[in-house]
Amino acid sequence: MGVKKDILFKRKGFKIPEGYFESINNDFFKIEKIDVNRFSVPKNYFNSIDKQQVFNRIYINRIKYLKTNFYRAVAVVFIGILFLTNNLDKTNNLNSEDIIEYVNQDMLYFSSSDLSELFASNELNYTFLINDDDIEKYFIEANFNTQEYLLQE
Amino acid sequence: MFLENESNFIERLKNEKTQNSAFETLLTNYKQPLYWHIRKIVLNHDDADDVLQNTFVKIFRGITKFKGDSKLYTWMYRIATNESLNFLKLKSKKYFQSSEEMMNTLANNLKEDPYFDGDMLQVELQRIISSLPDKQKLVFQMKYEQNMKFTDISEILGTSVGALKASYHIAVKKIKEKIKKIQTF
Repeated sequence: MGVKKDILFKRKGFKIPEGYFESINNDFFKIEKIDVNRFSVPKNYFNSIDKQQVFNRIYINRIKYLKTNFYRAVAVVFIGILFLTNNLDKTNNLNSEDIIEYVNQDMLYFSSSDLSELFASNELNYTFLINDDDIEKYFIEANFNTQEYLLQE
Repeated sequence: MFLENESNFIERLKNEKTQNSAFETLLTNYKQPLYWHIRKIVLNHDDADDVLQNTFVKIFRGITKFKGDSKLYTWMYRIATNESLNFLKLKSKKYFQSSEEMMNTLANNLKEDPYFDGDMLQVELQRIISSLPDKQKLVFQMKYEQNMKFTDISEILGTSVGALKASYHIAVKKIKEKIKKIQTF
C-alpha cells in the first residue's frame, strides 16, 4: 500500500510557479494607458438599424437565389436540347440524287461554280442519262451549219 | 440583458404571430454588442455593417431550429463570430491574398479610416492583435476588450475553459512583447 502511494506521488512531476493562475488577469497586461477601443461609427448608425433592413436583405437574398437557379436551369435545358438533337440525327450524308432533286425544285439558283462545288465529279454517275455516242453527235451537230455548207458546195 | 425570461422570449421568437415584435426587441438589445464584436474582428465599419446584417438574417432564419442547449446570446455570438471569420476568408480569396496579408492590409487601412481615431501606436496594436491566430485573437478580444466570462467564451468558440485560458495567456504575452518592441523604437 505504502509503495503504491509512493509511486503515485513520484508520478506528479509537473510544477507551476506559485500564484501562476492568479496572475492571469487584466493586471498582468500592463498597457492600461493604451486604449484598445478607438473605433467609432457614423452618426445615428445604430438608430438606422431596424428589422426592415434585415427583412429587405432576406428578400434580396431570395431573389438572388431564384435568379441564379433560373439561369442554371436554362443552361441545363439548353445543353440537354443540344445533346439530344446531336444524337437523334446521325445521318448527315447526302447523295447525288437528293442534290439533283433539290436543285430541280427551282428554289435555289446556283451558278455553275456553286454547282461544281456541290457535286464531286467522282461521286456522280450520269451514264444512264447520256452516253458517248450522244456526246459525239451533239458536238458534230453543234459545229455544223447546214446553210453554210450547202452554199459552199 | 432581458427582463423577460429567456425561454419565454425564445418561444415568442419561434411563434409566427409574435415573431416580428420579438425580433425587433432582439435587434434593439443586441445590435450594438454584436456590432462591436464583429467590428473588432473585421476592423472596417462598412464590412462590420455588412456582416452584422448577415448575422441577423441568419439569426432570424435559424431561430425556429434553435434547441436552447446554449444561451441565446452565446448562440448569436457564435453566428456573428463565424460570419466574421467567413467574411475575412472570402475577402482574402477575392483579393488573392493569404489571411495574414489580408489582416495586415486591413490594419494598414486604419491609418486613413475616418471611423478610427487612434494614433500610430493604436494602429500597430490592432495590427498585432489581428496577426494572432484566430482562437487567440478571439479570446483576447472577448476577454480583454469585452470582459466576457471564460465560460461564455467557451460556449461561443466551442473550446474548453482551460484551453481558452492558455490561449489568452499566450496572446497577452505575444502582444506585450511586440508592443514593448514598438515602444522601444
